[in-house]
Amino acid sequence: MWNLLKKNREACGQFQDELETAASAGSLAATPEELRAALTVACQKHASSCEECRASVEELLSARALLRALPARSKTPAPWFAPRVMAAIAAKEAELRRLGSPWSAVPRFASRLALASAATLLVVSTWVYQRPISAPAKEPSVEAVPESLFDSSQPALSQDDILVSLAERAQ
Amino acid sequence: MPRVPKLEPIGLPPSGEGVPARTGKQQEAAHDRELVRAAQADDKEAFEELVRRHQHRVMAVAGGILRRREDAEEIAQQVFLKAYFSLKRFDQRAAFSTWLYKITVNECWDMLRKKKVRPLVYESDLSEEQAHQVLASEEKGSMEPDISERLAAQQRVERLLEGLDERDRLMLILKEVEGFAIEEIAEVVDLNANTVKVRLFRARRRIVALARKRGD
Repeated sequence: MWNLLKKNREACGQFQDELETAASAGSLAATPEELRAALTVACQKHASSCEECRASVEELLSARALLRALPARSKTPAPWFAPRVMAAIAAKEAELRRLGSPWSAVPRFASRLALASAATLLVVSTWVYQRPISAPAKEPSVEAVPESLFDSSQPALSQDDILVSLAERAQ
Repeated sequence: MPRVPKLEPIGLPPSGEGVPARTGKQQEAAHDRELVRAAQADDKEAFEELVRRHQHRVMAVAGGILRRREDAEEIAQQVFLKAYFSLKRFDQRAAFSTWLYKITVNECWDMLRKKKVRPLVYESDLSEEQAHQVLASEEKGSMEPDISERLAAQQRVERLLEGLDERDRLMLILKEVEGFAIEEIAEVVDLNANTVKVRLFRARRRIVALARKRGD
């Protein structure tokens, strides 16, 4: 039983295959008789006993008749198409050439460049303004400065010495 | 950076094909290879020739997915632009047509994703394409079948096609409307030829069943 079913399915597959080949080879306006005649004897024999395969011939022709209502785009002449494509290519190439030049990048990055410059300016000016407040420069004191840079004989003055000497001077 | 698919080398053609047709196809492929080589060496005329040779197929695939002529034309142009600017990287391991189909399918899905709409469009107003048909029929006079009947039939079929899976719909249109060969469809949808045959068979059955159900 299982073998019989399998055999039938194989025969149906072969029929479909041959029908498709016959339909492709023949004209779109072929009749069912013409299509059946294009099949091998084995397939014709199978069709006589298989209702589903017989119906598939009618279905193929009905589907073709329905789809005939649609316009075929591959058969519509379009002499303007190739020149239009070539013009689009030329336009694109010109655009790419323009984009390839070094100055062409300037307008594209102008806004970013301006923003980056403004940010840099802000940071630098803040730093310059803040520097004297955080680290004030010491006023040079006549007493504190040694006569010579290499004169290490004088001991360094402590804070108390400075205060004492200032008090003495006030007196 | 354009997304251009990388392809495997083409396998040998399946047996059982008509020899003259295959030879013709091989000659076309050889001519394509020469044109691609010339275009890779910056020969613009060679690329224009490639556009002329493949524009209809690309338009058909894009139209099969997008259904609107205007969208299909826009995508077809994008496909050739992308192909032109990626051509130097195309190593010709696959056929030029296969490479173009892959770009086309990717571009179409991208467009649908961006638009977030269903690919089938049937509006109450006439589309640009339908308007062209009306104008053409008016110019031809009364010898042509009634344009309103034809447009109504077209819309009915578009509605029926909506009942199919997107890939099955594309295969059916390419096969029955645009006249693609099974092998070509297999290249477009990236399936093997036998699978395409089986799916076409089922798609036809489904569309006929839908038409019967709706009384078309």
